[in-house]
Amino acid sequence: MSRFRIFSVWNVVFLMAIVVLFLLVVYPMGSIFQASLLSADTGEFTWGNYLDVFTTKFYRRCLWNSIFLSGLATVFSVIIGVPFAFLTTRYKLPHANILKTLGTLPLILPTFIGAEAWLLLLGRNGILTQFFHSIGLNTPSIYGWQGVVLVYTLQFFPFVFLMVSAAINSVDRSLEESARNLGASPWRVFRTVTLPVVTPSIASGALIVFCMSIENFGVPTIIGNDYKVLAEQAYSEFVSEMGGNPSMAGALSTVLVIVTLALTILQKVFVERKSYSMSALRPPEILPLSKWKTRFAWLYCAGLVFVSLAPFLVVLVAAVTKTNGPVMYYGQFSLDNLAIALQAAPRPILNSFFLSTLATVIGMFFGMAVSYIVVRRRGWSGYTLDLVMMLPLVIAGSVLGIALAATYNSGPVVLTGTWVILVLAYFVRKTPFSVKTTSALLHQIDASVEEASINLGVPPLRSFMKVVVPVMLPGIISGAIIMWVTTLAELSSTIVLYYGPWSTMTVQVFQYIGSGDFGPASAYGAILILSVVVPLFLLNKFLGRDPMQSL
Amino acid sequence: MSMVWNKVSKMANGLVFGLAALGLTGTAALADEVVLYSSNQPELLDVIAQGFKEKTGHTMTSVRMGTGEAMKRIAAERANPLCDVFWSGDLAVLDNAKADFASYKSPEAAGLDASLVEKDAKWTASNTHLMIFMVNTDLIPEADMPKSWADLLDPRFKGKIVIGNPEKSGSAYAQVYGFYQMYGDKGLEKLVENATILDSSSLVYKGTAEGEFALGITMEYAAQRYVAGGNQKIKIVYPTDGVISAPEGAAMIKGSKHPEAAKQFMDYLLSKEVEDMIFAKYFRRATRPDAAEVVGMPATASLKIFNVDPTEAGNAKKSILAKWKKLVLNK
Repeated sequence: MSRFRIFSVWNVVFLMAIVVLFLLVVYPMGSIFQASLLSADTGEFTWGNYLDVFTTKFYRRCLWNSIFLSGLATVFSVIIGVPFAFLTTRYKLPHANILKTLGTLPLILPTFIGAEAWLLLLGRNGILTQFFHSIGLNTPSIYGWQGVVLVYTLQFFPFVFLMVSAAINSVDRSLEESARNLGASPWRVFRTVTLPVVTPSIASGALIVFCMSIENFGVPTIIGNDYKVLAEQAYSEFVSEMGGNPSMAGALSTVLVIVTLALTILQKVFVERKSYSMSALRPPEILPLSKWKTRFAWLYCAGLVFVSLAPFLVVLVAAVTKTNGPVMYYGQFSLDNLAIALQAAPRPILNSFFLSTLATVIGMFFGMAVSYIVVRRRGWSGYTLDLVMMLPLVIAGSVLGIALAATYNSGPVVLTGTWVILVLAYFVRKTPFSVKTTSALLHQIDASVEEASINLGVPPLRSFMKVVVPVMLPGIISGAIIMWVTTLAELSSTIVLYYGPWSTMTVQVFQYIGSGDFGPASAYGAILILSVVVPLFLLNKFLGRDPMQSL
Repeated sequence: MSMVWNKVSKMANGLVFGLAALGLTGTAALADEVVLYSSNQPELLDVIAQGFKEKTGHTMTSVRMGTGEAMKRIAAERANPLCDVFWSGDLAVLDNAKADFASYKSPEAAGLDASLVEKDAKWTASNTHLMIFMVNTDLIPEADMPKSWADLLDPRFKGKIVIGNPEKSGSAYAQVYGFYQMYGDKGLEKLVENATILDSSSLVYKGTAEGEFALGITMEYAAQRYVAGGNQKIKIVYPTDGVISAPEGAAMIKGSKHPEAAKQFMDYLLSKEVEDMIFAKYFRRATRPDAAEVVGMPATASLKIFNVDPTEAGNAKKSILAKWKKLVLNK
């Protein structure tokens, strides 16, 4: 018990963590909520903004569109992600490890780049569309909600795949073996033993897909046509050049947060009731399949990977394609756009690296401390910290960005318009990933080991560094990589927070796409892809496993 | 606290600039840095930054954002302005925000029409947008292209037209305002009936070029970029019943931290050399009466121009947008 005296190191750390999260999440979100309760005209208290959201046909449609698109993308992600997880984790497929690594790559591509790339392939004038037309197939354009669902599904299914394959690996072999020995058919074993163990992870993967989809505004803006969603409306109310309505932006943001929060709570209740915790002493056996089954399974997995990585190919090709203004000349090559990105304007590239690295380093230490407290400290305080820490996952990036910008643009600490606010936003939005990967490992070490160290006279902090940190290290490293990679690809909070010279690669790409210049956009996009894939590849070699798979 | 942040921030700024300087560019002479908030495309801003540097030795850094967002930022930063110059935005929007601007009458603006400089020189019009129809001939053959705004109201164009949302975009508002002056309530009703409305005005020309839409109501420069780039499917129609012209302007920010460099930047921007370059390469029509003509684009004098008066457009905004919203919500 000596670890938690009132004035112990950990209490100080706990308090600091709570204060940081309060200042960066709770308080700014509170001010958004407050704005939503004020009338835009008179500044007086009113429920009118919420009334508007639910009574105006237009906003009701946006809300419905948001839920419909995200719901559909979630369903499709589960449909394609779960089989992919099972086939690559449980069965013997040629190069399964490569398939798994490639399967996580869609996560690193900013979604709006994916959207633009798919438009180039399957839009009305798309390369594939024209090909289909030439062989007599009249495929419709994906411009519209279909395209949005396609992009969400292909870019977010790895969340389902990662969660589910981790769960599959935690099913102890003996469980299935005993079921088989008791005479159950393979199908019955799957239904009654494997599936129940995996279900909670399907649910959490699905939830992440849903949250990521509903907060996204880049994709619907680029290929949604006039199919409008809530996140887009909240964002455009905030940035409208005709003078937006901050109260309405607040109300729309709050509705968004309530939807995702409600689902998270539902999922938590559901999972906590059904969760089976076990430590897999013997991971499940990797089964061979018959020749034809292997071929089909492999074709499915490789095909899925190929399709989901098609945007990468488009971006890499477009980056070296000759352009004249917004017009692309496919088949003719030029290094002009890459040269411009590297020479004339290297600043956004340096900014991206500087900001992501700083946010990652801060997040790494913070995440380490928080996961320790969350795991070791049961009861309300650990629970509160866990809840507040995970809150940014359900808040749309643009909403959190707006909240931070509005909170820190006056008063004793002015951060709006500095690079510091970008680092803070990235830090608070991405640290939950680090906490997730780290605490999963922490659950495995018994508190008694550490207590023994303390009882032998080693001070708590040193015991922590000597005993706990080494065990957490793989989780810390993979958490850091996930933070770094997703921060590099981050747009939604950056676009509302960046200032002056602090534009990043994603902002650059988004703006070039917005002005119709896919050539320069792809040049930055290609640099972004390479700067993420190369370190991932090296780490994969160096660590001997895929860091993305520990999420 | 904020002073500490400022210091740290300056250090990091220096660090990154230092890295950039070491690796890729020469070291800059001691000069001011002008920060520009701008809604213009990045490549144009890069060219201007380079030219300005060569001419004056000052660095220009641009932050690209929509005009509305820029006005909001400038207002939010009133106590501590982070930007020196804004360029370019619809005059009506600038006129609304003129309390945040400093008076500066550039010698380069001497030849401009009186309506193109604010009376206290809070803003100066630099160029003007002509509102045109951008047609994708894959979807509307050249022979069937509309010639005028009146043609657009024909039911045969129902569902083929896209326009930006005037509640969200300044250029779309200028289009709707000009059109409303010409065709009134009845016309507006028919236009809304025929058109698809997109939230971002850039999606109008992008979607038309990509073949998702047959005809986009958009700005001349945006469509001309595709024509000049070699997209042969794109044709531009200058409506015969009135080409709406919406000037855009530049303004110096009140309390700018680098006023001298900012003034030099305004002069540079409004000079004949730069205005001609912008028209020739980026197709934004110069406001200067002595501007050169550009091959392949009609001379301003050959078109029937409908000038948008920023004050009147600003005054009518509420009532026109209310009418618009009512029509759209009941569609």
